[in-house]
Amino acid sequence: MAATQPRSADELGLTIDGVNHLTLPVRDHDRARRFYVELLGGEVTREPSWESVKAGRSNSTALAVRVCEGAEFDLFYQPFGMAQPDQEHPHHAFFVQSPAELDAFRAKLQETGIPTALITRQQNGPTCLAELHFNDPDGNHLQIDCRNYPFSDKVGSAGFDGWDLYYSWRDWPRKR
Amino acid sequence: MAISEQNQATGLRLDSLSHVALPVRDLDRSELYYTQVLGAKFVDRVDVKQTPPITSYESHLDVQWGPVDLKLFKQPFGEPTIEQAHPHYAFTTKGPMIDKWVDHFTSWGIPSVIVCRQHGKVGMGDKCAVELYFLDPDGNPLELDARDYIFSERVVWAPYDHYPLLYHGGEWWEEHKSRFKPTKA
Repeated sequence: MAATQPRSADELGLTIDGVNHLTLPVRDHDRARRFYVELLGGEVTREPSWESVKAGRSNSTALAVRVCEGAEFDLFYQPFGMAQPDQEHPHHAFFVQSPAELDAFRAKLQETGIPTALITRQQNGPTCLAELHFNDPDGNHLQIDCRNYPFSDKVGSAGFDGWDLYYSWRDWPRKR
Repeated sequence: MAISEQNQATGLRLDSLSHVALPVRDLDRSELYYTQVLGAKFVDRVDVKQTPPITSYESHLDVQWGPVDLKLFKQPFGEPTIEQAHPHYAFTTKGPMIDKWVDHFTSWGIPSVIVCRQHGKVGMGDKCAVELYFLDPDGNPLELDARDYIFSERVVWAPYDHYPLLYHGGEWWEEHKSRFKPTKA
């Protein structure tokens, strides 16, 4: 078909309905499962299977985890392509409802040896939009946001150094 | 303790997606692509004049595509290579829209490919699940999925060749920049 004059998607009524899935590269499905299911509270929706790879129908396989309502991570075995420590983007961010939940997630992450950075870029009087930054064991950048988080001196306001969030996937979870 | 039991015990869950942040090189180009080609709604744009050394890229374009907030940061590196399938970003649409999206992308000079993974289960004329792959002008891999597409001669079987999806973002912008009208003065 010959190319026609470009028009906007709006004019043509082209729409999407929502997120189908987001993919991330991981080196070890067992470790990814511990992180995304046990630590972040996701639910496995599909187990990895190498059958289609062996049959030549796929290049890799994924552990699929629903991390929250409307968002599923397909964690593909791909031992490269994770963002560098000082490369902020791409990243994926989620919301929690309450400051207590954000604090609880931060405590859980730190308990297993995952460094975090709690910062804000929007302060509204006594509260702020708090951003909790951290990496999964493979170095993929994640963020949990909380609106109306109480502002205090434990919330940074000058950004963070991505290298402070670095840890080795092989050493996670930290042995007690 | 089983994983599901552990989750119930802690009750700690992420509530919803806040945003997905992607690296892009030219906010004008991304604004044209994401608002006109993809039909995303402009939310905000912040242009910050920064001089090297830059440790944190501050300029960004925020759009909402369907229910999803995308933050496009002006970071001139970090897009996946064409051989690197992940990370990528997949959204849901309806089967009858897939061919319309393909024609739409073609009219804008953007290559795309419809892929089916239901080997041996579906054929011409059958309702099937497909994945429509394409790139933004910076090479970020995007995907539209539909579960009710009618299998056509446009479909290729997985695995597919990623290379035909490549196009030159700079040349694309040169060809289409006359269509760009900034939303925020």
